[in-house]
Amino acid sequence: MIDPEILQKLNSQDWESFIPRLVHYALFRIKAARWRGHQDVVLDLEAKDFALKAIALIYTGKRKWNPEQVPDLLVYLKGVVHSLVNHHVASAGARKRRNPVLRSTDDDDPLEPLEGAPAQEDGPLEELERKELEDYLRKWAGSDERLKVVLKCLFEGRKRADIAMELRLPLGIVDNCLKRIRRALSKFLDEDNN
Amino acid sequence: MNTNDIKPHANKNILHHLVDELSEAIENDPAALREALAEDGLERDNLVKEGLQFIRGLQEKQKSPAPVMKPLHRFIKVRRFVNFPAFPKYAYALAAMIVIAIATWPLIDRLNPKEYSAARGKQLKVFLPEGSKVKLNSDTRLALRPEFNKKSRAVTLTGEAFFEVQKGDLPFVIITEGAVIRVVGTQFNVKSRNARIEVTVSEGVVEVASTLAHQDSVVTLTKGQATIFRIGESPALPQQAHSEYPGWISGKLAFYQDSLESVVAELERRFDVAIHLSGDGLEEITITGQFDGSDLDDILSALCQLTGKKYRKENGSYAIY
Repeated sequence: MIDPEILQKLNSQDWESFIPRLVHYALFRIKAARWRGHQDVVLDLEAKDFALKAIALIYTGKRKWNPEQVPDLLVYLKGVVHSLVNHHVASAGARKRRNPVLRSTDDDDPLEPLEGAPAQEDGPLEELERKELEDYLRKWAGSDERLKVVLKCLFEGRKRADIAMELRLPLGIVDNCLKRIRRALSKFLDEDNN
Repeated sequence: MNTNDIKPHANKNILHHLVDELSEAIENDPAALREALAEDGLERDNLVKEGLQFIRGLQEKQKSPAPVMKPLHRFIKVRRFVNFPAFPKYAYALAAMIVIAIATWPLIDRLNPKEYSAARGKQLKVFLPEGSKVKLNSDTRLALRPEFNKKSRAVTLTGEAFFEVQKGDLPFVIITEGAVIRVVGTQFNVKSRNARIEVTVSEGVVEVASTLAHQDSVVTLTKGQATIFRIGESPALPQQAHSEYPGWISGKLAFYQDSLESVVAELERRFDVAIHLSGDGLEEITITGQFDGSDLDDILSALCQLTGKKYRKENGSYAIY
């Protein structure tokens, strides 16, 4: 049974705002997971299903949200969605034969307690992925200097707020660049997955 | 600025990082988010409507035990104002805890749902308080709702179980992820795994309803009929059940047009082992047939004969290739 205080906190969340954000995140995660060695996997669940399942896991107490550890529920929910998508895609089978190296990081039991986003270490496959993504996005950015520096910061692992600070740009300007990059990346993943 | 010297960052996969940061950028702009969802054929308002409805359902389910707990909290608060003689305060606290525990135990016991579970590689027969019998297949959990046998006979199922429901005035209700099955007195099997639900009736009449489908729809099954559907969809129209289904209750494994992947998942649960699929086209193979469920090597040999594949044992797990 879920703790009454947690239940009260859950009930008071801005779900109307969370739901589309979570579905969008799940959508992006599915594309990314398929791209990482699962292009031939046809999923029987949609982004919406993963988002709702994550919410249900928290409401039923199967995933225990601790507001002291992760105050932002959306961050926690995204972690659950990430775990669910990875597990579901991995269990679809293709990864087992195409990319056995990645199984150890992605075959997590989705019902295990989650503490933040799953950590992943850079290995040879990750380096190849990085190079492929980097090459594509650099080429896509062309001669747009602002996009190129934002991309550089992103590939250095900086967060959006840090990028704005580093480049001394308003966050809105950085966000506009990131939106364009998102669209390009989404298109790249879609094309490569199909 | 020279952009050719991009250095790899540590600890986080780059695609993971890109997805997180790019998602965050768009999520803060409702118009951009709406547009991004639309690019993938999703309509924001419909998602919100459906999501809120789903959450209301979850909230309703959580409501029932709360009113009973309130008086308990009040009781504890009231006792704090009573004046006790000057004995060590810990002795009073201990005594109070014991008294409260004894006094409230039957109530707490009634509030907590009773749970039964069969681990991987095991099966479990459960006799419910009102006379119904349930056999749990491997890796399955059954919980009695707090109001079981009072207002209804409701249970929550995760996995697969065969039910022999005792006739009674209260309807017997099985709540599983994505579906509700309602019966009076009958025998039937419910399998809810990997977002797929199968209900097969051996005796009597069973009503099956999806809890996540866009439209309300109920399917009524009679003896020998089955419905198979995915979570979020409406139950399929009744079809003739495979004559050997469900085989697991008699120690067999019966499959009807199941993917090789789901057959392997079933074997992993039954025998508590890991079986890997490696090779092209394995996920497209479907299996129909019945196996004697006592020996894993016999089953794998038969499966490989059926599919033209081979299997090997490696480091305590199996691989079909």
